[in-house]
Amino acid sequence: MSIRIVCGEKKHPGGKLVRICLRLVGDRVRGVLLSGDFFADPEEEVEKLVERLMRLETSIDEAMEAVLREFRELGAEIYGIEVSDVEEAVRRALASAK
Amino acid sequence: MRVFSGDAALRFWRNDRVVVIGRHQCAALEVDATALRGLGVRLTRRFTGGGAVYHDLGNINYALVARRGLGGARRVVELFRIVGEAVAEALGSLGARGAYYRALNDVEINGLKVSGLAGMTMQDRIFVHGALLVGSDLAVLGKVLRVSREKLSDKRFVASRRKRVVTLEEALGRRVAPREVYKAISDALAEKLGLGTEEDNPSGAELREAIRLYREKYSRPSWNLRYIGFVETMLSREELEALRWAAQPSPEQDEIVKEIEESLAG
Repeated sequence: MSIRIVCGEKKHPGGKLVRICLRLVGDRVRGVLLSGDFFADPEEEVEKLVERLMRLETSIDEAMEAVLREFRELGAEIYGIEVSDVEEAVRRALASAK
Repeated sequence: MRVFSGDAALRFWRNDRVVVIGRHQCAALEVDATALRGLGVRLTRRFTGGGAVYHDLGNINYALVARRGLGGARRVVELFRIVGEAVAEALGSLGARGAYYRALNDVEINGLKVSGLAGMTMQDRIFVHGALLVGSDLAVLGKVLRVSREKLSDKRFVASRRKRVVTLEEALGRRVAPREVYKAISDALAEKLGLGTEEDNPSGAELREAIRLYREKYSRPSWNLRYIGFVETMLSREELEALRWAAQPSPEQDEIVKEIEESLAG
């Protein structure tokens, strides 16, 4: 089955950028990469979130909710982006998958 | 070079032709890999967040580590403001008009970025560092760093204005020696934080620790190219090879590290 990577990004006005890449295998999402130029305290928590997202498996329809659920559980204060920016980045990644 | 003691330490250094990406970035998404290899520019990842920057010997790096609470700063963003304002004042003292700190982590001269800050909070200390474009080759910077359309569309960058950065030498219309910058920044920070300056070189223990980190972390593709496996299928073989080449230190860099090791042993 073919593997496709689709990405979407969102820059918070006057803030930082978040990028979401989804790995699509058939009609499933098998892994999500969250990256960007934001800051966090403690930074290690972001790495734990990224590891969890890279292992995430979900249907395309449920991808948005699954990513946001993980992001909301981030055990760190994040500077430069907000949950609405992650949501928009996921939306843009999904839009480019169509 | 190291300045201050006690509550804070300020360090200055320069790197030759390297892109330094932020802790949470994926190299493949931030750089033009083919341009990196073609221009002989290496790549490394730092341990602080923030975005990708290009360093050459025309760029001066500064780093302040301070006791948490110094100057009233308890969070990294609060120290960004103190350091950013001090750097803007330092640029003003060198003759640059229109230099100011812009939240979250930039210093600009009349709307163009001249320095970017990054940092992190540790238990009882806060670390903030920055890169200052003094006389860097902006043509190379423009070729190796990928700037996303999304970033360009932010209202901070007017669509028609392609130029987003400026060097201090461009702003002043003259050459600037590194020493002038070191003095201006350390004086401005010393005044802001009420510290005396006391210049020193890195100690043997600091150099040994730096070399350990270089060997075990910063010279390794496993750290520098973290997350690359995720996007590998979207890269050409040429891009992947270029990234792997860039993620290793240059022979010149290795030579410098060996010399330091020998001087420590002798």
